[in-house]
Amino acid sequence: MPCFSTISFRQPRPAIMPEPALLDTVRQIETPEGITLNLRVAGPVARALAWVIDLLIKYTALLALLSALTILSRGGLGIWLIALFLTEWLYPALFEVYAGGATPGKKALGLMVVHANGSPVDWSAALIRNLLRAADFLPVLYGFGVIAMLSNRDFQRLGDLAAGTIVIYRDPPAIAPVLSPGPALPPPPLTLAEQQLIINFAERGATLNPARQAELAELLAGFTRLSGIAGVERLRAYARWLAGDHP
Amino acid sequence: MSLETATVALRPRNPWEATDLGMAMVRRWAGPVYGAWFMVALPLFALLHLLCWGQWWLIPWLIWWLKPMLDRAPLHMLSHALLGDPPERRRLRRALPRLLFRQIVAALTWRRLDPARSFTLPVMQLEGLSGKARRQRARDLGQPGRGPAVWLTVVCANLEIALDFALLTLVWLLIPDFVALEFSDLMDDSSAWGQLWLNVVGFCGMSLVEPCYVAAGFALYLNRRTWLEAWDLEPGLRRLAARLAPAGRAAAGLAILTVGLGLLTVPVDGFATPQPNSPRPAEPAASIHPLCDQRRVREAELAQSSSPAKQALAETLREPELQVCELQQRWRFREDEPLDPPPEQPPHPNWVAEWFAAMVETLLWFSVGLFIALVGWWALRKAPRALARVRRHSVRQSPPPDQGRNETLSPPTADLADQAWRLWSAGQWREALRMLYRGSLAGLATHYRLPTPASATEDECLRLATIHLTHPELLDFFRRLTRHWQTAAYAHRPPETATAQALCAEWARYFAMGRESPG
Repeated sequence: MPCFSTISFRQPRPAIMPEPALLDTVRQIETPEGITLNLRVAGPVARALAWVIDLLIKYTALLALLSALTILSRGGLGIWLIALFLTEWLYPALFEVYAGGATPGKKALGLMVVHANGSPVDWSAALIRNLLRAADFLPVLYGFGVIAMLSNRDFQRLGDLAAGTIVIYRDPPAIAPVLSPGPALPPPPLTLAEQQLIINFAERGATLNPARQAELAELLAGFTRLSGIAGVERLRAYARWLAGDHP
Repeated sequence: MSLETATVALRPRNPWEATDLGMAMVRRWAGPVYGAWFMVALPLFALLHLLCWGQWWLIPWLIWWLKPMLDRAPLHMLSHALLGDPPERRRLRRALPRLLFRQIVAALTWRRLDPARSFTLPVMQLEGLSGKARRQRARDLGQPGRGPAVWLTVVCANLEIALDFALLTLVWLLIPDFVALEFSDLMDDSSAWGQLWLNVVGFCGMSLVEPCYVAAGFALYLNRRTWLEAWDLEPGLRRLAARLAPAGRAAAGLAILTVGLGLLTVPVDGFATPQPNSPRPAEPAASIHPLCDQRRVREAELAQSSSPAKQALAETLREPELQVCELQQRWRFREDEPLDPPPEQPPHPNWVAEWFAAMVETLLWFSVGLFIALVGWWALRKAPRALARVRRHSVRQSPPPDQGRNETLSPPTADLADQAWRLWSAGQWREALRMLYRGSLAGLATHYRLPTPASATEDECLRLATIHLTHPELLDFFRRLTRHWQTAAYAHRPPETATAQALCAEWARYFAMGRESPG
C-alpha cells in the first residue's frame, strides 16, 4: 500500500448513467455552440420512389425531345444522344446544387441531400455522388446500392459514402405550439426532457382521444391527485406555465 | 406490453421514416431476424422440392403463395426484440406451431392478395384479433397508414426482382471468358438444373427482401399506434411518476398529519369556514423552492450530458457568481381582469390647479396652430424658391455646354440684323451668319413658340420647323439661312454679299418686330 495518495483538485466527473441507446434513424450533429441537430436520414423506400419519379420526368422529357428531333433525321439523333448523356449524368447534380439539394422526385417525397455534417451539398460532392451511381448500379439495377444502403447506419449508398453526403427528410414547417387557453400552474421541478414531455402531451391533445389522454394523465395521479379529465386539465395547466403562457 | 423496455425510439414519424425504422431494426437484429426467417423458409424450400419432385417450375409460385406464413417468424422475433427480449432459438421453435397455423386459411386465401399485408399482419399476430374485431381494428388503424403500406409492397416486390437480376448478372460477370456461357443460358429454365438454379436465385432475393418488408410493415404499424396512442410519451410519463412518487407520498403524509392536527385543535364548525385571524400559509417560501430546484435539476442534467460543450456550461454555472438564486416579488396589475372603475372625482376640485392645467392646454394648442401656420407659410412662400435653388445647383453641376450654337438661347435683340451686317462688312462673314442663325433659333423659340432642343443638329431643327411652322415664307427663309450657315460653317464658303444682305433684311422682317407673332 502506498503511504500517500495524489489529491485531485478537479471535481470528479459525474457518473454518466449508461442509458440504453434507442434504435433510431437519426444522425445527431453537435454544433460548436452545443446545440444538437437531429438529421432524420432517409432509407430505401422513400428514395426508391423518388428515383422512379425522377426517372419518369427525365424520360418523358427525353421522349418529347426525340419526337421533336426526328425532323433532323440522323443529325437529330446525334443531338438527342448528347442530350441523353447530359441528362443522365447532370440532371441530379444540377438539381442538388441549385434547387436546395433536391431533384423534383426528392422534393415530392420531402427529401434533400446534404453533407454528412448537415451543410448544403456543393458541386464536388453532388458530382461525386452522382457519377458513382455507376458503381451503385452494379451488377445491374442498383444491386450494390441497395445492399450498401441496407447495411449502412445512415442509409448511404456507395456514392454517398464516397462524397460524404446523406439524404435526409426536410423538416416539416415549424408549427407554433397551440395550447388551449386556460389557467397556468407551476409544476414541480422537472428536467428539460420532462418539461418537453408535459408540453408535448398538451400539444398532442388534438390528436389523442380523450379516454387515452385520461389514461396517460392517470399515470401521474400519484402526484396530481386528480383523475380523469381533471388530471388532463392539470397537466395542461403545467404545460401552459412551462410554455410561458402564465400571467 | 410495457413500453418502458422498448429498445426503439418510438416517436411520431412520417410513414417513410417509419419504413426506415423497420430497415434499421433488421440491421440491428440481423442475426436473430434472418435466423428466424431461415428457420422456417429453408426447411419449407427443401420440403417443397421433395413434394413437387420433377415439377420444378411450380416451386417459386408455391413459395411466393406461402409468403404470409413465412413472415410470421421474423415478426415474432422483431416484436420481442423491440421489447428488449429477443427469444433464443429453442423458445422460438416452441412457439412456431401456434404461430404458423393461426388463421392460416384466411391468410393464404382471401387475405393473400391484400396489398397492405405487412401492415395488417401485426393486428392479427400481435393483438391476437380475429374475425370482425380484426377487420374493425385494421380499419381504425388503417386510413392514413394504409397508402404507404401499399407503396411499400410495390417497392419491395420490385426490389426483389431487381435483386434477382443483380445476382444473375453478378454470377455472369464473374464467370471467366473461356466458359462459353451466355446471359440467356443463366436464365434458361428448360432443363431441370436450369430451373433449380433459378429457384435458388429467386429464393435468395426473396430471403434478402422479405424480412425487411415485414419489419417495415411492422414499423408502419408501430408508427400508427404511436400517433394514435402517444406511445412516445407513455414511458416518459411513467418514469416521471416513478421519480415524483416518493416526494408525493411524503407530501401526502404531511397533509394528512396537518389535517389531523387541525382536527384536534379547531372546533368542528370552524372546519367549514376558515378563521379570519388564522395566519395565511407562507406562499413565498413555497414558491421559491420550485424555481431554484428547477435550476439545480437543469444543472445536474447538463453535467450528466456527454457533450463537452454542455459540461463546460455546467462548470461555468457552478461558479459562485452564478450560484445566486433569488426570488423577487412585486405587485402588478392582472391583465386578465378589467381594471377597477375609475376613481370618483374629488368633491372639492383644486381650482388653481385646474386653471393652470387649462392654461397649459391652451398654450399647447396655440403652439400646435402656430406650427401648422409656419409650415404652410414656408410651403407657399419659401419652398418654390428653395426648390429652384436646388435645381439651379444641380444644373450648375452638369458639364458646361460647348461653345458654339449650343449656348443658352436668349431672346434676339431687334438690331441683331444690323450687328450681323456690320460683322459682314468687317469681313467676319462666318460670325455674321452664326449670329443670324442663332438669332433665328431664338426667335423661333420666343416669337413662334417653336423651341429647339440644345442637342438638335441643324437638320433636326429644320425638320422641326418644317413640321410645325405654318408660315411658308418664314419656313423658306429659315431653310435658306440654314443652308447658307451650313455651307459657311462647315465648307468655309461664304455666300454672295447680295445674298447676305438679303438675309439680314429678311431676318429683320421676321424676327425684329417685337413680341407679336404674325401667324
